[in-house]
Amino acid sequence: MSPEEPIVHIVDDDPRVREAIGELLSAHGIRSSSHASAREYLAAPRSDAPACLILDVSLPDINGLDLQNQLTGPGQPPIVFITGHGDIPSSVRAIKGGAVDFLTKPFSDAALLSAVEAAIAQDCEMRAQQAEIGVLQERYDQLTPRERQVLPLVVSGLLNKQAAAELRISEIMLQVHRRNVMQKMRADSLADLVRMAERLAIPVTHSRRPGRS
Amino acid sequence: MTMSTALTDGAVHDAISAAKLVENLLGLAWASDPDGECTYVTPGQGESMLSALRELGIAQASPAVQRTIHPADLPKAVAAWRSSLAAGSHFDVECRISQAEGCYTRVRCSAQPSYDDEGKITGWYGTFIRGPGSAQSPDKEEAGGARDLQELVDTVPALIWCTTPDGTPSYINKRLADTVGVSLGDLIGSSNSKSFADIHMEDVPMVERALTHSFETGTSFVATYRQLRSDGSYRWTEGRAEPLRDDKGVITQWYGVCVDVHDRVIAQEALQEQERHLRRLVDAMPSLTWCLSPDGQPSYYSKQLARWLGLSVEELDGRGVSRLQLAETLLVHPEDGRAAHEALAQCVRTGEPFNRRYRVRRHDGQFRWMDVRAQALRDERGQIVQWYGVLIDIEDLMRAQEGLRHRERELSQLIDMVPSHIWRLSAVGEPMFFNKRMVDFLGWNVEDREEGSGLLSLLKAIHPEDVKAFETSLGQSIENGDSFAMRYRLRRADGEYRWMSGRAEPVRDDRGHVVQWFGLCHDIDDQMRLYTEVADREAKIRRLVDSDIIGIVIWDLDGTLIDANDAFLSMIQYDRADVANGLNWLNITPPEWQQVHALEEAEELAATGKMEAREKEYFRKDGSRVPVLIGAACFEGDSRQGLAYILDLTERKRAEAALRDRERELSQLVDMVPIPLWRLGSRGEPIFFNKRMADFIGHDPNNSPSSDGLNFVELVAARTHPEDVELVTEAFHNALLTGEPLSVSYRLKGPAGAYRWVLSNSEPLRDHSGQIVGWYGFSHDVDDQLRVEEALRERERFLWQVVETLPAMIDCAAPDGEPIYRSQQLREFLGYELGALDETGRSRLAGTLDAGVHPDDLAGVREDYAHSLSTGEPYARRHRLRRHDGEYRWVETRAAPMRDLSGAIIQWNVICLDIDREVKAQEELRLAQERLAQATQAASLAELSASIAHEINQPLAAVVTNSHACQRWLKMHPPNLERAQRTVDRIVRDANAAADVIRRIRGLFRKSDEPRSLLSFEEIVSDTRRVLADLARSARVDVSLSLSGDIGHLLFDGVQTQQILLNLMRNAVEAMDGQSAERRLAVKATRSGEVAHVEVSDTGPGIINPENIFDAFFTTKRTGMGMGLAISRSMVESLGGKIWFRNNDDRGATFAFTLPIGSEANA
Repeated sequence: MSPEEPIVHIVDDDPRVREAIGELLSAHGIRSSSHASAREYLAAPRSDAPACLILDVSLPDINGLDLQNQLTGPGQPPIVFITGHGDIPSSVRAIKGGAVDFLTKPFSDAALLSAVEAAIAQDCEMRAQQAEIGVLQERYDQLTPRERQVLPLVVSGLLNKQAAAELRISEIMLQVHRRNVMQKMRADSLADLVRMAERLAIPVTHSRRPGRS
Repeated sequence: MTMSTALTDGAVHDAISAAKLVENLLGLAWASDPDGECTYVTPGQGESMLSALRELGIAQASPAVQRTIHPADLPKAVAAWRSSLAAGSHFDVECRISQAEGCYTRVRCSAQPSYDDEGKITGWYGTFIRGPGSAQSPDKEEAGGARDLQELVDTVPALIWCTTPDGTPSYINKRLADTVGVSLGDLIGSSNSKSFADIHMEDVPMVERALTHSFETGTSFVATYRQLRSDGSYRWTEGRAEPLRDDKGVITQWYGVCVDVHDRVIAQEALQEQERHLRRLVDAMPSLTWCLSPDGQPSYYSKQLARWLGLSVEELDGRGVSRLQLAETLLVHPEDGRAAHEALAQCVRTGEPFNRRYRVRRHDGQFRWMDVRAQALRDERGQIVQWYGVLIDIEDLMRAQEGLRHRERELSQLIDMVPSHIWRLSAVGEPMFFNKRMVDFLGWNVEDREEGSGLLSLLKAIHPEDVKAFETSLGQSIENGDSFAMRYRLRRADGEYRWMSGRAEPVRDDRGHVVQWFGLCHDIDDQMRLYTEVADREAKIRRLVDSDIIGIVIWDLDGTLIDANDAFLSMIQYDRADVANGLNWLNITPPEWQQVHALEEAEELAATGKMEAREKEYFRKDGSRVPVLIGAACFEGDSRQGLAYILDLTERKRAEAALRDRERELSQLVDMVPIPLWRLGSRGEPIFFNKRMADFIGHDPNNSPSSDGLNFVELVAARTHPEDVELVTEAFHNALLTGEPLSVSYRLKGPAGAYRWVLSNSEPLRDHSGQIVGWYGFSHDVDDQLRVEEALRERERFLWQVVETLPAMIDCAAPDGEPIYRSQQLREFLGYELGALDETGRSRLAGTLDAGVHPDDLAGVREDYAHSLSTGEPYARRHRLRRHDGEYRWVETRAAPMRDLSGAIIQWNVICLDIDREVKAQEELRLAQERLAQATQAASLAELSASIAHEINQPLAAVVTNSHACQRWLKMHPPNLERAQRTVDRIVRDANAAADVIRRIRGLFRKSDEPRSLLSFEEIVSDTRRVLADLARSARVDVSLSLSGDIGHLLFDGVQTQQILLNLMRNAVEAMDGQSAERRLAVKATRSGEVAHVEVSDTGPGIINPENIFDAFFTTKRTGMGMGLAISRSMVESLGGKIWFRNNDDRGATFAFTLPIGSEANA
């Protein structure tokens, strides 16, 4: 994964607007690609670079807000809406839908650029997180089924003895498994392992209750 | 083993013969040197044995080598062989040796050492002998098995022997040796062939032949011969031998067995002797005897039979067909052949005895009837061994029978042909025979007669009324032996009963016992019928005479009553004794009638022979009189005596009297009836007036006879109102002329002198020929009734006129919707009369709808009609109706049901209004509204503003963005002038585009200047109200206008003004939507100087957030765009006016605007 230059996708049915935004971004050294409709954007090949989507609300094929609804999920770039006549319901909807900003035409360069930068930063952050989870997932995939059983018990904070009893194995064996888990997950400490488990959304199945006899 | 024993025990003196023996041994012989090295093996098929021997000698065989000896047996065999070699002891081992394809054969391998003179072993001689049944039981491990077999073979009570394939004896079992007293050696003759030393000399050739044949061909050997016994005797023995073949089918050995059958043979011989004896016996017997094999083929004809047939069984052979077939063809009469064959075949199949008569050809060619019988002979298991049969010549018998049958047939025909029914009964009355004629008559067929009792069948055919008598009578006759005679009805085949005269006579035997009955019955139906008819007629007359309906007497002119029936006697209350005592005719005739009788009756009778019926009287015995009607006639050819009938008229007279009484009563009744009644003659002359009539008219025809010539019409006319005279006169004359019932109302002057309305009704009375004989009539005072009617009619006419002249089309319909009346207006509109619909064949309603209602409206109209008719709900609908000239005009039809007291619908009243003009006007209005709405759309609301914003913002956005980009390019070090230039070009281009947009929009607005027209403000307001009318009505808003009226015709942009008003009014209506309180919309317009002042107020909730109310996109309505007020404001301002609003003091809000009058604000 070589870090690529960020890219801004511009979707607006007006060629003049696309052109102008592209020019402005270019003047600020940001590369861009422009699309006349939602369909054109969806059909275009996507690079792996951090990205941002400048989306016009009124598009010829589908409404930009509806497109926003479709573009949910990981890997989708953050959206900066632009509109010819902004109304409150649309902007509220856009922001609620996770848009970075909602700009009414004509907009200032500062507003657009800051929105774009914020969006790209957000995308980078998201990507980094995704990448980390990917690495962790890869490590987790190396675990044996038994080790996968051990992991939640350990991160739940059970004592070795308790975890061993839970799995009906000897404490020694549990310690071996636990060591393997730590090694394979490359966890420096139990706290590290707990954090990783959190990232991987491994549920904490047990909680150690002090009062339990 | 046995072989080796034989070898060692037997003489081996002769080396050559020994060699031959060895070669022919059963099994294989071998020799080896003292060290066990094989030196000789019997030639041929010794490959496996040779290798087996080699294996025995080899101490350690390579495991890879394919072994001949079974691996399991090898160590044992090798060890035994070594031990024997070392010790010089007898070698004997059993092992399995591989034959083809891994199949092991159990083999016994034996060897004996051969010593030289010094006792040194010079060599070994051994054999391989295949174990018995070894091929089949290769796994049989037990070595003792073979020995057991040997013992078995030796002890079996059969004589067993073997030979080599060419017949040299190779083995005999011990029993054979013991029994016969010979050794194997004795049996081997010179040249190695079998010697027949043990066989009786006489049988040797036969046995030798058979054996040789078997050995040569390989077929089984069977022979019975006499065999020597050790005691020197010979016994019959059956020898059998079967070859043993190897896998390739080559014979390797013969196995034989000898069974002692001496006793059987002896017994058989005895039997044969006996059979010969019997046969001779049979042959000598004078009956024709024959035998058949179990399958029915002739196997033996006795000599007698053969002689009789001129044919022996053997002569039936060899003609290419079976004996039976030939015998049947040759011997059996062609007509009988088939049946006989089938019968025999049947018997052969089932084993039943065969017995049949058919013609068989004798040696001289003559066919004779034979009784042929055969019976199966079975052995102890029940199997048929033979059929034995005899033939008995029955020709003469058959001839006699034939003659008898012939005679019988002739007789039968005779009986059947006799034209009478003949039947025979047994002594107990059971019918035994009916002749054909009778059977045909009854329609029986043969089956019917076989079923049940013949008597029962006969009884069934007898008429139910006669059957009991028949049964009784016949039963009695049979019981007593008396002759039977009876007439009865018998059912013919076609179901008709016919009278029969049946007789039966008993036939008695010598001792007088009844043996049977012969009966005869013949058809007497026609006679019976004739008789019955006469009897019927007689009975009818008899019944007439005897009945009390009419009195009948036979008289003599001298007055004697010769005879009289009971009716007459009871009439005059005399009895029969009186008649017998000479009751005289004249005695009972009253004196006044004596005269008449003497003068008229006697004369009439004498002249014509009869007397017309007349009424007169007779004295009863008690002297009272009885009125009678009498008619008489002389007997034919006799003028002195005759017959008279007398009817008692007492009743009639009484009835007449009663009638007279009734008439009087009626007359009184008529007079008392409070209605004038009258009767006229056929020509109208008064005959009878009841009292009331007479009083009314002042004339009584009863008192003044009709001869005074007064006509009823004139009588009435005289008192009739002058205006009605003509009507009355004409009505009466017309009735009298045509005979039609009369009904006329007119004013008649009553006794009081006042005219009163009367209704006179009269009907003719006709006689039986239809001729009018008089008129009955009554006059009814209907004055009061008529007055009421008149009033009603007047009212009806008035209503009618109202309806007819009402400027609406009115239609009345029955409860089911069928039109029953249409006003003139409607008729004229439709152009046809109601009656015209009846010819179409459909209902009037359907006809009207189909013919009149516009096709587009028809379905809806029908549905609504149906709904109203079924529910009783009032109907109201607008639709197009076709006028007589073909034009469809809009009408509004309303219908409501008229109900009676109980609430049931008795009529539908329909009113139909021509609203074409209104609808057309409304339609125009609606079109105007649409046009307005289009104008509105073009000039207003969200679309316009949104599109303006978009159109302008797009290039503006591009301009701004490009400007920023340009700035950026220029600020770079060094500045990127090329890019900056490009962006500046774009800025210019996009800015121009924006300017274009604005120009276009201005152009749009300019367009709306053109339709300015001189419209009065009032017109604009009321037009707008009309446009909103529907909305207001559906929202139930009360719209009021208050116009000062002095605004007048001023220059306005009508459309825009209307648009402003429309917006404000619509807002007001919508503001009040959904609220329950009073909904009022008031529009007020006044003029103050050069300004028109307009207020639109509502009673809605008022304005809650007044701040941005005129801003675009501001709305408080769910569905609003927030453009209406914004546009209104822009329009007002463009027209040079102002717009504002305020909340009312009580409730709601008021929007107000001003427009300068006559200004050109937006030029």
